[in-house]
Amino acid sequence: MTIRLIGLYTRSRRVDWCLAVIAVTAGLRWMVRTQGTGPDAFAILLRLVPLIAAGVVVTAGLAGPFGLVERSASTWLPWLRCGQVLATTLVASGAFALSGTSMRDLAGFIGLTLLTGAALGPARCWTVPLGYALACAGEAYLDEQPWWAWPLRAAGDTGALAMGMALLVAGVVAASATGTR
Amino acid sequence: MNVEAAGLTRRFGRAIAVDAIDLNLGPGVYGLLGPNGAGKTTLLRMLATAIRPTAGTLRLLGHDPTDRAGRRPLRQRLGYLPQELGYYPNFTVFEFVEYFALLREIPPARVRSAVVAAIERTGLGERARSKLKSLSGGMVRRVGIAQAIVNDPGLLLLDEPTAGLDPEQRVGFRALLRDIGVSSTVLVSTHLVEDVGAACDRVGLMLDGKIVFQGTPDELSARGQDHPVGDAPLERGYAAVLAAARS
Amino acid sequence: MTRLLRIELRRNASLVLLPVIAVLWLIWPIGPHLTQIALWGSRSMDIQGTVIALGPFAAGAGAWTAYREHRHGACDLLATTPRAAATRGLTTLAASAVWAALGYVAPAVVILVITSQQATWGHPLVLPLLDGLLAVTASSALGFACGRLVPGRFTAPLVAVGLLGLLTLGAEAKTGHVAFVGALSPAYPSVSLDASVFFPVQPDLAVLQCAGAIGVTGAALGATVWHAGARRIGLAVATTGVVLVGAAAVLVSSGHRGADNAIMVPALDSVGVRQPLPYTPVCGGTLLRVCVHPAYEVKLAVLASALNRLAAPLADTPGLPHEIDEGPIYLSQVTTTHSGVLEIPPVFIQGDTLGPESTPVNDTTALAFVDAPGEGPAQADDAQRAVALYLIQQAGADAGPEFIPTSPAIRAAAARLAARSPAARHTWLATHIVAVRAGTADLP
Repeated sequence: MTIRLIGLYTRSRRVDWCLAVIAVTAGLRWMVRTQGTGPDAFAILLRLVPLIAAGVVVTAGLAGPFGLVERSASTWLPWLRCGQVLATTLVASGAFALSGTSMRDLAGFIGLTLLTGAALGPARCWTVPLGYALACAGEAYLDEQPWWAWPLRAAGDTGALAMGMALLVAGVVAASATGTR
Repeated sequence: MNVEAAGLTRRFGRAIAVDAIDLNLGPGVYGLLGPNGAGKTTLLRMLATAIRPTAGTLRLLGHDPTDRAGRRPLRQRLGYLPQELGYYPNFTVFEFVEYFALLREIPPARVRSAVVAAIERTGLGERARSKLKSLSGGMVRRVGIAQAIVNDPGLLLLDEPTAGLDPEQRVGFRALLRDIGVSSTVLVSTHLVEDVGAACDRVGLMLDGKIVFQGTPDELSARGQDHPVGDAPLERGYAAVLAAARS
Repeated sequence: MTRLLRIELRRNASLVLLPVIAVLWLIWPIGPHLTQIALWGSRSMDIQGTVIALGPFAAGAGAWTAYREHRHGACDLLATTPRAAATRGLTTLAASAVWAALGYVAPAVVILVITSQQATWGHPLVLPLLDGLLAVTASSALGFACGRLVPGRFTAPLVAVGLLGLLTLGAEAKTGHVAFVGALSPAYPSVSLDASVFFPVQPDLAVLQCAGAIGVTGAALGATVWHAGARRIGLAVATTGVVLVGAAAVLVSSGHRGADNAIMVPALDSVGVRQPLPYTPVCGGTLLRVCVHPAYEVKLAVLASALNRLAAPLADTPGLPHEIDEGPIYLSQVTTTHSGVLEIPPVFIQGDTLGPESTPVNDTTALAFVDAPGEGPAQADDAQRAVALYLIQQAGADAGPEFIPTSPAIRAAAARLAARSPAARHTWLATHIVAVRAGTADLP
């Protein structure tokens, strides 16, 4: 019965389509993998843009067509959402690993997009991550690394890793608990 | 005649939603009854020029809706309230009705007065500046009616107009229909037979894409005199005609 | 029509984004630029550069607005109105584009007004400013067309993110004819900064970027009209737009970089005006005379002080250039001429120090102090790098890896030099600098 529920939930969220978009995004990133490797503002943006796209797909994919009917009917819903987020995040991690993408940045941006989706709805989930990426690029342009710009930190930076993972955890919890409005 | 349909048919793939209907309507209020899936909404959508007939001929207000040149003057004199009204929640009542007044190409000088009149006729005067997202379901329905009558339509098509209205509003709405029906053709699709009895001059009953009865509400009531199903004469007539058509 | 547009303007989704756009203007590093030297050319380019932040938001808002009929289930009702669907669509598109354009124009005007009170050189460059405006409008139209053609929950976010990716990819275009196509991205500086100071403005790329933006807008309008049912006219407009973009791409691909670092397109070329603009330099400095273009006069004291600090340990040593001139050259061309004049590109100043962006200039200048005349920074050997590193560090700066790649041996040699007493160090430099310049010296 649980399998049947998961199957129907997956169909209602068009998860297959989400996975296809993630694959295409990762493919595009792989095609330009030699770009965006430097520390300058545009290289930073080029590195972060595919991660926002992945976050958007993971988040917008949570939106369901049933609204209040579904919310009032199922205590399973938070778990189904959590499973969907974790599964799509896992697929995105695998797909993006091929192009050498930082898993810390991917996790952080998916988390940030999920948090935005939980607060502003799936249609606007892209706004904060996009603005944040631009702000990071601006700091890179000024050759500065303020504490909040964790994507600018070196790969082994523990603080940046902690921020990325914290965002992912917060995003998964928020999106699982409340969904995307 | 404001509506002249002959052999009007609409298919969706293999399914026939409307099956070779003949319909001629002049001024007055015409009620369209029928069970779910009978084809009422599809018929109204064809008359509203939202979808094209698959077969048959249709003339509305003297124009051929399939003809590009005829469609524009026809739409200027058409009012339509779909079963599910789509609306932009951030628009105010006034803006929403004004928006459709402009889209229906009412002369600019008349737009404001037409909008005010339509809003007043539907009893929404005090909520004219309210955003649609702040209104109740019944009020949104009245906004839908307001936009449908804003251009003083020669042909008014209403799909389930009284859904969500309270009894007092429905009484007022029936009076509004009778008023408009004096000079225009009003086609009302509904499940509420008491609306038909109170407001309509004529009534049609659809089943499986066909019109199985046309006549006055009294004639429909007469059909059900000996029928056991139904609480009111019109309901008994409705059930009797359906039972006869199905058998 | 006007009233319809008025309603659309009042209730357009882009309106909600105006505060977001205001924040973008604040976070984009145009603010720090306002404290630097005010060149009209630089400020014009800064304003154009904000397209990379505004464009994606305009496109997302456009896409979101475009499929509202679909989202709210109003398609049937709207289809029964006599107003042509194309007119309806274009009115909504126009409202979105107007707000997006306003989000660009209003802050731009503020910056231009500020600049008018600070400007040291030049005049506002109309083409880059116009290019930014056209690009923001094109972004909005493009987003709208995408929203109409592919209505769905992923459309607005993916259009916004995808456009940011495209703009960024274009801005990354560096060299090579194929990569030049990327220069059509409005995020790519349409005019070389040097061009507005040392050379007349070369408008080739700006013209092509404008043409590209108009082409994209045309293609988007055409697609919107086509989708609304006016197939023939929609196709014609869209095709014209695509052809315009294609022509701009072909033309920019045929370009090459000129002496002023601008992209020159032979078909649009105006070689006759490529002569440097005459100017009378302003000079200052103690040990070394430092001369700059009058546009940069306000930073002369800081620059002269920084470069003299860099050269201080070499005072009274043979072969030291007697003058440093700022000019329109590449970093790889920084060298001392045989007449003892060292040429450097314009330097970024932050407050009263060299900015971090000046590190390459600082590095190449230090190398030029210890290189043979005529040699570029790329030819430096380990001894030259060690001495240059010492010069940079004693001046309180850091060397970058681009021009002074250091090994442990080079760093140790620079440290040894720094550890000597001033007298011993000066003696070593005085006796070895000729060998260092000749490339025959060992590490200090």
